[in-house]
Formats: sequence, structure tokens, C-alpha cells
Amino acid sequence: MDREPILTVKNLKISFHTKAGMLQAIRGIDFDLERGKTLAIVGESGSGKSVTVRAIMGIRSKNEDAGGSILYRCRQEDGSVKEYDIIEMKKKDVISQLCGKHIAMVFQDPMTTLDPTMTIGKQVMEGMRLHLHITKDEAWKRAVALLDEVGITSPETRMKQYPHQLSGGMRQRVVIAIALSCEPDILICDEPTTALDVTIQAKILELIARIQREREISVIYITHDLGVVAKVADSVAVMYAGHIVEQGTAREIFYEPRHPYTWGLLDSVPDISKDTERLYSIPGNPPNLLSQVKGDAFAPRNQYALAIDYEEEPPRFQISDTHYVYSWLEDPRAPKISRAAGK
Amino acid sequence: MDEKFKIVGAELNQTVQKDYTDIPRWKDILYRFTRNKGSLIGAIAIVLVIAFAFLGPLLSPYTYDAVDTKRQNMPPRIPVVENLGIFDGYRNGVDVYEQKDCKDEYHYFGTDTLGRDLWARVCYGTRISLYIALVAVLIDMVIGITYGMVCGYFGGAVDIILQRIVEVINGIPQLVVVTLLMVILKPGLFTITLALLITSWIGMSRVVRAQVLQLKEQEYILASRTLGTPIPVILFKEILPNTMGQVIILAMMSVPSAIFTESFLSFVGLGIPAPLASLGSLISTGFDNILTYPYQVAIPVVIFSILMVSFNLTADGLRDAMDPRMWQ
Amino acid sequence: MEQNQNEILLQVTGLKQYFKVSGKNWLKAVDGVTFSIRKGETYGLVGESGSGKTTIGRSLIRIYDPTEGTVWFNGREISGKLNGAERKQLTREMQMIFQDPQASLNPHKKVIDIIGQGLDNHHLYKNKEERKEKILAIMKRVGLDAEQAYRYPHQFSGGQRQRIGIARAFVIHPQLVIADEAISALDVSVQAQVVNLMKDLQEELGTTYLFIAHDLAMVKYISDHIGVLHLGHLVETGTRDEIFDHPIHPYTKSLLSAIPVTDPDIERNRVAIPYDYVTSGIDYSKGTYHLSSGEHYVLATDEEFHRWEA
Repeated sequence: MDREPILTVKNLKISFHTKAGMLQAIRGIDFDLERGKTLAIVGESGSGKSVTVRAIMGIRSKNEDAGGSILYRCRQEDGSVKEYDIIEMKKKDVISQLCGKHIAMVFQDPMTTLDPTMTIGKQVMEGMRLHLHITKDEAWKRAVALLDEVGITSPETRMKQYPHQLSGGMRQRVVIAIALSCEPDILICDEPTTALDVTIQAKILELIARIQREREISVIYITHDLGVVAKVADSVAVMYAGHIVEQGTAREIFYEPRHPYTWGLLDSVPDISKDTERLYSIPGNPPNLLSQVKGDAFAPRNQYALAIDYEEEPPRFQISDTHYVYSWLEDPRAPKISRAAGK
Repeated sequence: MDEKFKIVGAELNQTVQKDYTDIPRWKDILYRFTRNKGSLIGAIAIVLVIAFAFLGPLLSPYTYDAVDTKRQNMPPRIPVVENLGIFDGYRNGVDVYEQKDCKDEYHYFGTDTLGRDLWARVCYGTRISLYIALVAVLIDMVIGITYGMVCGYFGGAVDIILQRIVEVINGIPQLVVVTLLMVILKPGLFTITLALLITSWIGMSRVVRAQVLQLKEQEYILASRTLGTPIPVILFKEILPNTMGQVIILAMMSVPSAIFTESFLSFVGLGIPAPLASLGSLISTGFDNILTYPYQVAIPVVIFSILMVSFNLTADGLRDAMDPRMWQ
Repeated sequence: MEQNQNEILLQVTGLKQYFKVSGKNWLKAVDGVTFSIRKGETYGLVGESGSGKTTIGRSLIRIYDPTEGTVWFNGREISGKLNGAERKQLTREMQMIFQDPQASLNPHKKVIDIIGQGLDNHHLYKNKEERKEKILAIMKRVGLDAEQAYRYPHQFSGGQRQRIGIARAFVIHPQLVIADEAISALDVSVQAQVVNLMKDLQEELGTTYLFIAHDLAMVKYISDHIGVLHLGHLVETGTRDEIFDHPIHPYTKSLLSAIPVTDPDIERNRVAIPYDYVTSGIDYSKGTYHLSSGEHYVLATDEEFHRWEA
């Protein structure tokens, strides 16, 4: 087994030319996705998590500038590994060679992802016929097996039904089946459960986890729901204003968070097992990325901001092999602050 | 300890925004409108055409209805410009004005087959077409919008009854309506206005109704209702501004169709009675001589096109200016 | 009930809200719901999509006219036919905060006019100056700058828009505010800001809340009493502690067990209790409200109640 990560993002920078000026959506991020593992990218709207995913899927708009690299390592049939740089590739090639086939995506809202005028069967088979070049009968058989695998009862009947005839949870299962139809190596899930009820959320997450184990695929979750992250993630990247401010294993992030923003996020969620008197909330609003960010983008909302935070961007501090943080608080010269004080 | 590593905490007062004062809405719209080059050009062109229609006859000694059989089909001739080799009264290398022995006369746009001065006729024709356009837009705006809003907002029985009425009106061909009107009334502007009044607002009412049906379920309309806002205020202050984008475009599209309806009616003898003319009737009569006397059709067509293009430019600009979401 | 001094502000009894789907098909969105809210308290209504929680809020504020049942609010019945004056008084005393902060603000109106709408409708000012003063005061209270008053909704972030929605509801000082999924469309950190703002306003003004949500953790944080809604029926209601510490109805138990926790060790080993109405053999329409203890009521038949209580 090769130990190389399946996906490596290096110094990714993305900016958009807008009428109002240059919008720096991603300001240099790095992360690895290990084979068979789950990475959760956590952040609020505008933090750049969706833009990152778009870049991985090779979706680019005309007014966009991208820098850095996204390396995707694909295992060939003969055992060798072929490396693609998605940033360097032409949009057309990404779509024809990678999307759907190697990298697939599950979106937030199953109702808008599915075509209301096509039967479930047709939609599941569409990608297979396109990428795998198989006959209609073969595709039908596979689609039925796939629907069965994602936990849809009486798949033969469902194949002939239309999306509106299914419940929300069932629809999301269909979306997952479509994503899996070409046997991808990487599955990207963009808020896959926010449109669903709590009782169904867990089932969908368990389904994705089971498929991940069985098929040995790697999964990226994009979410702001920390409950989801706690349940599924192996490693967690916390994004703020186009930057990864902290990354580590799930245990490191939840039990020993180092960045004040991570503290704030964790404290903003009420704990069901306690009677919370007063919920912590991060003051202020995220910065406007149209203007140049000086120093640490989070500083204006950070009650522990140091003078230097307003001057200089914090460097990367390695806490452990898997855990790093961008915060001046880790500097030996900084005062010692522990998270408990934030509560 | 290093000064740089002192805790200074959050500095939230970063809201250094432009100083916003209360600018009245119409001023805002006017400002946005004038900033858009296309719409500004369109608006200026419309003003120029209107000026031409009303001031044009003062610049020429001829009237629109004076028939002069000696001066048939004279080519255009404009002082000063004639020296440039255009509008010089020549046809096929022959100076028609000299031929007809009227070297001191200037028909700026030439004359038609009856020898009537086209400049004066185009001026009057433009006036009538502008009037038709105005009437069409007004009818669309007043009747179409009100009818559509009432249908859409109240729904239920009100909607069903009003929609059946619309279907009945829509089912009668316009020509039949006009012909029936002619039985009672004599041909003329008033009759055309009445014909437009009966039929032209139906498209608008349908579009507005569909928009309102969709908008009334929006949360901000529900919010207005829960705040106890009276229904007329909800209709005209909450819903109407949000339909304006569609309304303006549709109203502008109704202008050419109204002008052509009028010219069609003139053509079948139910419209403006001769010797009065409209742009539509000038185009249709000029079209008969397009090969021999191309200027007779070209000039009204050019005026008509300028009018249409500038109406569209203005409408686009107005729509954008009225939607705050389009502002940067 | 005697231990609580606060008087009841809203009493809902047997509320039914049906919608005609086609011909003789009726959608029973709310099917006989009974609960009450005390003055100055927060009643949290939880349920999944399709449980009828949004419909209840809208029936109370009379966006819909209730099919059956009575609603007493502030000593008056507001469920029957209302004349203009009664309707107007209702809109003065009851307000709503909506789910989607983007869709609930008219994009063509300035913030000052959006917030001022309630003042305009109820003529709550003597002159323009007073109107502006009142609006700027409430804007400041909810954390908006005065200079933002002349801007349009699209120029704000999601959290700020929801603050505008809150200011609009609060500017006329209503007694009851219905918050319909008011935070579910917001980011985590903004949710906390908005919920805290709502708590502060309640403390200051003594406003009563009907907090409709599907996020049980938030509902627990903000509510004094909680009602659990499923398929148009209120299956269980009680104080926060009664519901969270001693859930009785199997649906409530299932719902509580499904709440995600932000702790990987617990979350990974959490087993949700399954509940399926169709196969459970429970028929909500046969149940009656049984008092368990204090103010804790459960919708069940006698037999079910004894089985679940045991």
C-alpha cells in the first residue's frame, strides 16, 4: 500500500475579479486527504470552504484566478500511481477525466440535485453509461444493486419512480447512489444533512460511513455542523476568511483546540448534556475579503488578540504530527491563555 | 514582556462605512439611471424624437395634408447638407427640383405620391404613434397591473370570475372588436384608443397575476400582513415594486405592437383616416414604392427604429435603476 | 400549576388546521393541538419537517384561519372570525420572526422603512422625528448601526438581516413573538449571537416567545416549556427538565437520542433509538392527554400511558 495521500492541496489561492474589486476567497491553504479517511472542512458562509471544493471539482468561472496546486493521485490498474494537477488541467479535461468518475459530489439539497422530470433509474444509470461504457441491461442491474446498497427498499420499483414520489431521506440516498455509480475514489459531501430531519441525518451519515469502509473511498465533508464533524471526521480543518486557521485530528480539534476561533465555534453550540446559562457567541462579523486583510483576519473579533495580530499574519505552529495552528498565541513570547478562560 | 505580545482584545469598530444619508428613492433611481450610458442615450433620443414631432412643422412651410400634383415624389433636399452630396434633390443624376422648376423649395424628406411634404407628414405621424405608445403603456400600467394584482392577491372566487372575463375578451379577435366599434363610432384616434382599452392590457394582467401569486407567499409579504399592513399598501408598496422589472419590460414590448396594430387598422381602413398619418401608415404606403422611391419608406422606418431602440434602452436602464439589488 | 405565578398569555385548545388538497382530500397539517404559554416565558415547539410546527405559528397569527379549536390570547378569543379592529389589535400584540432572513425582507425597501412598518400601520408616532428616533433606538438595541438605516437588505450579511427582522418585530413592543425557525438558516456562531439577543430582549421587555425549531439543543437552551410535535399532533409537552430528563413518549425518546453532540467520543458511540409511527402500532388520534407529573402531559391511550410510564 502506498502511503501517499490521495489528494494534496498546496498553497491554493483563489481570487475573483468582481465589479467591486478583487475578492480573495482563498488565501493560501494546504491540506492532505489520506486514502480511505474522512476530512471535514469546517467554516462559516464566506470562509471559502465551498470555493475550495469547487476548485477540487475543477469548476472555474471566467473571472477567477487560481494559484498553487491540487494534486490528485489516481491508482492505475497496473498498480502504478498517476498524478494529476487539477489546477493545471483544462476545465474540459477535469470534467471528462475526473469528475463523476474519480471525484463525485453529494450536494446539500437533494430536491434541487435531482431532475424532477427523469425517473430515478435513468438518473442513476446516466453517469454509468457515460463513464463506464456498459450496456443498458448491465447498467440497470448495477443501478438496482446500488439502490439496494444505499438502503432503498424495493429498488426495482423505485427505479421507475420520480423524485417527488420519495421522501427527503430517500432522495438523499438516491443522490448518494448517483455519486457512487461510477465508483469514485473521492466523495465530496457538501452539507449533506442540513436539509434533512435530525432522525434521518444520523442514518445518512452512517450510510456514507459504511460505504466508505466497504469501498475504501476518501470523503471530504463541507459543513458548519459540528455534530456531524464529531461523528464522522478523522481530521478536521477549520477555515476562517479564506484560511485554514487550525487543522488536526477530530480528537485534537474537539479536546485540545488551540485557535481562539475554534474555541469560539465550539462554545457557540449549546451542549445538550448541560444546562447552559449563557451561550458564548463570537462578536462581530466576518471580514470583507474585498479589502486587503492585514495581520490575522480573526483579530478584530478575538478577545485574546495580541498587538501583533493586527500587524503581522501569524506563522504556522506545529503542535503535533497531525495538529497545527496559525495563531500568535502559540509563540513563546505570548502570554499563556487556556480555553477555559474563554467560557 | 514584548509589547507586541500584549493582549489588546477585539477591535470591533471596523465599520468605517460611507456616510449614508436619507436620499429620497426617486433621487436614487434618477442617479442610477443617469449613470447608465445606454439608458441615458435612449432617454435623450426619445426627447429628441418628441421635439422633432412637435417642433418639426415650425421649420417647414408645408402642411401635412396639402396635395400638390405638380410636386409628386420629390426626393429629399435639405439646405447646407445638400452641398455634401446627400439630400440634394438629385435622383438618378438628375436634379428633380430644377426639372420641376422649383429650385428655391426645400422638401426636407421629399414628398409622397400625392406631392404632400413628407417632413410634415412624418412629424404628425410620429405624434400619433407616440400618442398610441403612451396610451398603450398607460392602459397596461393602470388596467393591466390593477387587474392582475387583484386576481393574484385575492385568488379564489374573485380570481376565477375575473379570469373567465379575461378569457372571453381574449377570445374575441381584435379585428372584430374594432369593426364592431366602427359600427357605432367613426374611424379615428378615439376609436383606436377604445380598441386598445378593451384588449391590450390582457398580457400585462396575466404576467402581473403570475408574479403576485408567487410574491404573496414570500415571507416579507407574510411579515407585512402580520404587522397589520392594509391590503392596498401591501399591493402597491410591497408587491408592486417587486414586479416592476417584468412590468417595465412588458410595457415596452407593448409599444411596438400597439403602433403596428394601429398601422394595420389604418391599412384596412379602420385606423387614422387620411389625410392624417401615423408612422405605421407612412411605412405601409411607402413600402409600395420601395424600389423607385426608397426614401419614402426609409425615413419613417428610421424614426420608428430610433424610437424602438431608445425605448428598449430606457426600459432596461429603468429596470436596473429601480432594483436596489443591481446597485454596486 | 399553582407553583408558577405567571398568568397564561396564550391558551391553545384543540387547534386544527386543515388544507384542502383536491376534491375531498384534506391535508391535516395540525390535528388537535393543546398547549399554553405563560407570560414572559419561552415555549419551544420542536418537530421534524411536516410536523405542522410552522403551520401552528401561522394559524396563531392568523395568516391562516384555524379550521377548529380555540385560541385565547391576552384574555380574548382570537380563533374565530375577527373584525378589522380585532385583527389590527392582534397584529399589534403578536409578532413573528421568520426563517429566511433574506426572503423575509422586501428587497425594494430601505431598512428604516422595513423596521418602521409596524409603527406606520399602528400610528405609533406623532411626527417623522419620533418615528426615526424609535427606529434608530431599536436598531441600536439589536446591534445595528444608525448609519445602516438607509441601506437596502441585500447589503447586509445573514446575521444582520435577521437582526433587522427582530427589530421589525420588536419596534412595536409585542407581547408574544413567534420565532419560526428564526436561526436555522444562520451560521453556528451567528445563531448564538441571535439567540442571545433574543434572550436579552426577553429579559428587558418581558416578551413571551413561541420558539419553533428543529434544533433540540437550541430549544433546550432557550425554552422554559417544550412541546414535541409529530405529524400534526402534540405528543408530549412539559417543562424543559421534564421533557429532557424524563421523556415518556417513544417519539420524544427517539428525537432526543438523535441530537448530535459536539464530542467525538460520545457522538461516535451514540445509538439513536429508532421510531416508526407506521409500524409502532400507535394511533395519535386515539390518544388523550395524560398528566404524568407537574405540567408534563403525554398524548396516549390509557394502556400506552401505563406501558410507557412503567
